[in-house]
Amino acid sequence: MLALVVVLGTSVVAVGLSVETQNQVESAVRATVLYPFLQLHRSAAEWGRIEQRNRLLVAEQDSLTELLMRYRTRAGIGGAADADGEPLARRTGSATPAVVYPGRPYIGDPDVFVLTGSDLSGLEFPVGVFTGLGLVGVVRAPHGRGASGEFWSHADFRVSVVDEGGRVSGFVRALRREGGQPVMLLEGAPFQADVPAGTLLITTGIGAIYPPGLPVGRVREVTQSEAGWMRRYLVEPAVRPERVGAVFVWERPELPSESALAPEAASPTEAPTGQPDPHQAGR
Amino acid sequence: MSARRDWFVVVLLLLLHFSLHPVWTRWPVAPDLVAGSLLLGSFLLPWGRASVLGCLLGILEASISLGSLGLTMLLFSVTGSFASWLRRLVYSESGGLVLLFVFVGTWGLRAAAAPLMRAEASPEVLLGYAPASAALTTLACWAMHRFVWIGAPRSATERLR
Repeated sequence: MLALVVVLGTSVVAVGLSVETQNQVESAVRATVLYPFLQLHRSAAEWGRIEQRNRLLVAEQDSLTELLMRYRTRAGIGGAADADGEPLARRTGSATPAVVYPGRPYIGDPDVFVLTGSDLSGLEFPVGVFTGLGLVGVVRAPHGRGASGEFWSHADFRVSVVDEGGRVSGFVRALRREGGQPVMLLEGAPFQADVPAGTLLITTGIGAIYPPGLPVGRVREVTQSEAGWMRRYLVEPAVRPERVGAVFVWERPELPSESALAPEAASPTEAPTGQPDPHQAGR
Repeated sequence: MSARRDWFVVVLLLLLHFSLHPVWTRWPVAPDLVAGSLLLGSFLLPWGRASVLGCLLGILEASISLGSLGLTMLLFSVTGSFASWLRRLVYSESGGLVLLFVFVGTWGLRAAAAPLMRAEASPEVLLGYAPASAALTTLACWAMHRFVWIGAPRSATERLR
């Protein structure tokens, strides 16, 4: 009976304690009696995060491997050549693996990045960066042993795109709504061409900054007409900058040499050999 | 030896509760093993000591959950002493009766805790989630007594097997 009275009295006193005092008591219990359990919970949560990260890395590795194999096949790294006997690498270029570090060199800017890779010294800037899922951004300049660049979400980013059927072309830039995640905006699409939602947009390769045929995003919806003859579309990006880790940097195909161009100048009617197809090579 | 086994089950329920607490909190219906251990422990104690057990378990439960410390202590103390008193009032060797006590006690504890802890106390919670959780708790207590074996089976709660 005495124990019951003491316990009930203690409980009533505890009810009357301030929230801060109750929190202090609870913290003391957590730091002593419950400490092993809380450590167990933390370890389990950490293990779960590592597992999830591991799954993402494996998925990313798979996609990169698939992309690398596709590029190897297209670029003829194993000796593949086109009908004229020219190595395909000369037409489409190849890719160098690299690792992206977002928010640098300007700390806190989510639209820029620094990347490091095995061999970035011979790159000619600007040049496109991509993953197995699609376009990531552009490398602008060398930075230390690596290079610095911008994600597609940067205000200065532009890329020329075309839909898979080749019917509609335009260019894509970033659109950052207030308080929201950045999305892409397709501009310059002809007014008479209706682009249905879900249409995949790929790079044209015009300008030789990005490889042709690279996924950029999928059309989400039309936003507004522009000057009566152009349309704008919201585009869901293929790659979110915050999820990017390992990437590929495009290595452009070699330019035709002066000697290869010379016969063309001498006899304009003769088809040049060894000159990259502008549409294929993006030049 | 039988009391040793009963207390082992009570401690095991507590260890399971505090180890798996993050898992339980994800679902609205989950076994409330701390209530089960409180009730089973209270059946083994006189009502004064059962209130002490309730008070201690209340402190532990409040420290790991969002409940108020004082209210949880008070609720668990009253529940422990009441369960002990009721067990002696309605004394029986029937294991089914112990399970019934655990079920009703857990349901009542969860139903009382909801308004006291300022949690959601809708009819769906009181008449749906709470009895379902109590049923799971009863099942867990029965499974513990069924499969945990230490010493000779002689206690009153041994009938649970």
